[in-house]
Amino acid sequence: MLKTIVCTKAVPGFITDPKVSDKQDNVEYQAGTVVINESDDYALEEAVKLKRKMGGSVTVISVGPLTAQKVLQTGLAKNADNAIRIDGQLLDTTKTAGLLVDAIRQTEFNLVLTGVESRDTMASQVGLLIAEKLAVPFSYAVTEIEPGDEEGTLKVTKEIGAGLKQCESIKLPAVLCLQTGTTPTSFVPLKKMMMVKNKPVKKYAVTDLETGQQESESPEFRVDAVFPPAEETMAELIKGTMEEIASKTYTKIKEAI
Amino acid sequence: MSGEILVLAEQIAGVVDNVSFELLNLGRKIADSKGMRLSVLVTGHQTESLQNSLIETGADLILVADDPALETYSAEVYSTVISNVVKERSPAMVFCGYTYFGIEMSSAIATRCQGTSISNCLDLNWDGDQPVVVRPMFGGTLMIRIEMNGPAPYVISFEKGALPREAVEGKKAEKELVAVKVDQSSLSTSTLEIIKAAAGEIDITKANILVSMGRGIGDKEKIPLIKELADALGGAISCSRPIADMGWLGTEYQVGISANYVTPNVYIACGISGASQHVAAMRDSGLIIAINKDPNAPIFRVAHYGIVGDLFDVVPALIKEVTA
Repeated sequence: MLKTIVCTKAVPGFITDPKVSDKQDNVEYQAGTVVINESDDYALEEAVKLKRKMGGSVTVISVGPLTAQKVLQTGLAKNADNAIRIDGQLLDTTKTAGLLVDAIRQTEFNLVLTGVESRDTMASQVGLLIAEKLAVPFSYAVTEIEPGDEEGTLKVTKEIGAGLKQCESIKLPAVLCLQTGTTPTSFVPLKKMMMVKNKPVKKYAVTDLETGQQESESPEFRVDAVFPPAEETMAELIKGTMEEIASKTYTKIKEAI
Repeated sequence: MSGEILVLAEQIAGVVDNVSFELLNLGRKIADSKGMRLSVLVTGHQTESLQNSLIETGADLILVADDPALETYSAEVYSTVISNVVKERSPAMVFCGYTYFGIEMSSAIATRCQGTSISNCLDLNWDGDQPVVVRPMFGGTLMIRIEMNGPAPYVISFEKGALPREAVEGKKAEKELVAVKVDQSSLSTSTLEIIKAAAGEIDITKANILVSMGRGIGDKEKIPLIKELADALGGAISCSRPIADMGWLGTEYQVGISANYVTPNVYIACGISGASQHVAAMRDSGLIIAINKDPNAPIFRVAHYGIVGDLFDVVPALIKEVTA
């Protein structure tokens, strides 16, 4: 039976006014509505699918401010059993993974699912760091999860690049980072969201957890600056009326063929 | 900063991946300016041809982890072997690609060797002896500059194609074998099968002109419009990941590091934002034209020419022009 923990992240659809935080440990910004990070949504969907197929439970967990609660409620509405929120917002992936591991260790589990990459920080590290901290096997860019041939194993298929996939047997407990497109994601009707609105979400403050209590004297990173991509690397823009754009573009194409 | 820079060489079907040469290029420049030694680690089995193609590419030393246990890629076995090499040699820096391989290796190495890791970097500079990296956030619409102050080794992964790939005048590298000890009985994973993508009805890697579509087309019903432009130009259609994820086109049409690498003479990106995984697989195309509504879309940083506008205005106008 699988006891799955799904790590999900609430990411803003768009941001404005990005700036370095006073402590130089994060980027602050004004955010639009948050949504569940795309690959995490696939991880959640896969967890619920596995529960239907193999039995067990699903716990969704997120490190984020109160606005991230919406993502956890989406998880509950999609049939997750429990939700945990660690109240914080960090750029440091090692610390984020540490906080998640501290909370995961207080929960019964034999499988941790995450997405491959978050849209905001684009690091692809948290899932793999969780595996390292828990000292369990991992698999990245997973596209399929099936029951294994042996008890206590899963059969997973993962992308390894250039059109190749690798099918492997992995012993539980394990951490799997899910690729997008693995299974159709479902839409949660408003009615279902309303039904889970009062379901409890377990909350930890960062300082409730061991990682959060270790206030490092010398941080591993210092954020120097946030800035838009350099203008000089931009393409030359083709402008004009639509006819002019089409004509100029086709001229460029003919020259290149 | 002194000591060794270790580049983790990567291969695709027995050939050294370009990202390894890009990393060696950067590594050589740093090694020369800081008086460091540049090594490259080849991991696999029967790696002679891989070693040979790395001989004069900037490294002082080619480290060879060659063993039958490394014949098929295994994240568990490779991360164990590579972490042991890093523990043994204590390099100041470890460079790898922000690729399937590099992503699986870097977190493991950094954790097991008590180092500091940062991923998906585009550039590296220095503030005195501290490395300062530039990396994207929010889909590449924003850049962030970070100074690394944690303990060495600094394990840094770089986006494929982001670093310059000019040839390095290299002397001939020496070779050194490293011990490979794999305790098969303690492994938690085992490879059952390597699956090749099923051959589709077309091979987009052979096309001379590709008209490629991304999430911006918005609707499966719009694919024929893109096909019409491709047909008018005598080319083929392709797509980015979301289109294949939604099942609108098969993965044989997908351009990206997970699927197909393409280098047509002309690549027209319609409604493709330009995620690094896509860009790395098409940036070597002869002429890249991007059509996108969002002027900040990262695709405009790799395109030669850009059209900021609605593709449903631009594409029909182009079809009209081509067929006139």
